[in-house]
Amino acid sequence: MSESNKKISLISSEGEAFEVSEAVAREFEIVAHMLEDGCSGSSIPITTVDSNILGKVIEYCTKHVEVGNVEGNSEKAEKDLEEFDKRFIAVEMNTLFSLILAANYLNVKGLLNIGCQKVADTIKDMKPEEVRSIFNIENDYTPAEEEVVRKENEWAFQP
Amino acid sequence: MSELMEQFLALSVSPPLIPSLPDDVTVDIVAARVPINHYPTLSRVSKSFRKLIASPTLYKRRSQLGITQHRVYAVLHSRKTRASSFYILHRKVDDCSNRLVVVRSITLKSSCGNYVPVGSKVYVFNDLDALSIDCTSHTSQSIPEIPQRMAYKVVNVVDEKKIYVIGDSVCHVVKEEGGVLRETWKKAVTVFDTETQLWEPKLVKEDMFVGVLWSDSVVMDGKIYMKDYSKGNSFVYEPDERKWELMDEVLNSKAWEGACVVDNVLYYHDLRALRAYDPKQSCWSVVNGLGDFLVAKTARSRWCHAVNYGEKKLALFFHKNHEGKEVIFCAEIALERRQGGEIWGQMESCDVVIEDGLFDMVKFVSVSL
Repeated sequence: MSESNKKISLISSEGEAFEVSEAVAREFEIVAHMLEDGCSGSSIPITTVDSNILGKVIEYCTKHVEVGNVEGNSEKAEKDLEEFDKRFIAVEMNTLFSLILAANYLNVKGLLNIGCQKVADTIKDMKPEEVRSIFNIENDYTPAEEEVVRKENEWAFQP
Repeated sequence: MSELMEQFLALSVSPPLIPSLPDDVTVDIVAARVPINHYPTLSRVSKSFRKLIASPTLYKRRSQLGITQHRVYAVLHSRKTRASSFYILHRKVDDCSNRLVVVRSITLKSSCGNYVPVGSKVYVFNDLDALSIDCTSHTSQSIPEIPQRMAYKVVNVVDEKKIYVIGDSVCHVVKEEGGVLRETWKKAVTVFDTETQLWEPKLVKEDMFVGVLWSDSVVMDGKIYMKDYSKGNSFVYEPDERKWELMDEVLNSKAWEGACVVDNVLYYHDLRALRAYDPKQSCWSVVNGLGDFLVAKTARSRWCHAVNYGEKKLALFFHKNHEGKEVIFCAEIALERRQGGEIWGQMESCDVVIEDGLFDMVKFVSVSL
């Protein structure tokens, strides 16, 4: 049991320390690997992630570790977790991108999954110009080119 | 991921797909989480997205992730213009209903042709040319024509790789007195290897009738089943041993046509029921659970075409008079094999896919993307 009580400090890009249990830190696969490779230091710098995002990632991992530890994981707990995920990822685009980048870098698979799914769900309901505007994508088609592409895909847009 | 990144270098000269995300993350989002029927919208977003949607990388990634989807294509022959066109079964993004829409970038020169799906491509062999249609980009490419004239042919793919063309072929031409050429026709098998894009030399089957038109042919367990209109000339060809056999009497007992194979079981709809034949048990059964609905739906149809629509699913296409018009319907049916071997079907959707039904249904194929 002493293992799981061990505390580890994760240091954000601004140098702020976040103290978490080892179990939570291990949710960051990159940290888990460091620990397995014998990196026994109690503070680990996460230089590419700022305090705001690191705090959120920790919140996500803490919740998932807590629910994972509940004996006889019930359906209700799973539903709660789903609800938590839904609320957690309902953030504005820039935060979503930062969360995905952090999850990708730290290798937090669950968070990366829900983040990517959120992007996909956003794409699914949109017209091309809306996708451009929400994801800040420049329209590099000339009007003539755009017409060609529209024609190419005409079959998909027939009434 | 590194192989993906390597392939992606070709794309990376373009601006990023989504500026705030690494392209490999975006590729995975598009490959794994955005359904294929949204791809046309995405390719209109930017040049980078268009490149991605048309790139083999995306489809390779989909197959790595094990999430390829089946897409059904149709060849319909217009009774008005007498031309054949290539159609895609598209689930509309707005109201989720199925629709057959013409793919204008593909031109079919002849209406008589054989169509066979191999992976994400459809191979076409007709009287005038041979081509492969890439269904990721809706472009076509010429391939070497069948090296010899062949008539009464059936075309099937075995092992997702080799296309078997079986039919009557000219084997000898003798010049008779007075300069008249006399041709001797024999049954022959010739094979197109889709990996090398080359034809293998034909194999002639000496002791077989010629001039017999097979009504339908399917592949089950790597064997090609050819059904004759009259029961006497139905055969099974075993490609590995190049062996011909007469078709099992039970399978030959029904006049199946417009059949498809799902999970090595043959299905066809005879306007009364959806019937299944399992070669392992050598028996016919009726797919349960579809009730009277499908019977009522297909009641006034003339013919049904079944097409494989994934591992446990098929699509049925049929003509019908609907609100005073002749239309084409498509019913998607999920199949489930229960304990004891009974097969149950569940209708997932049934839509009018062509509103003006003045088309003949030539062929339906299913590709995986």
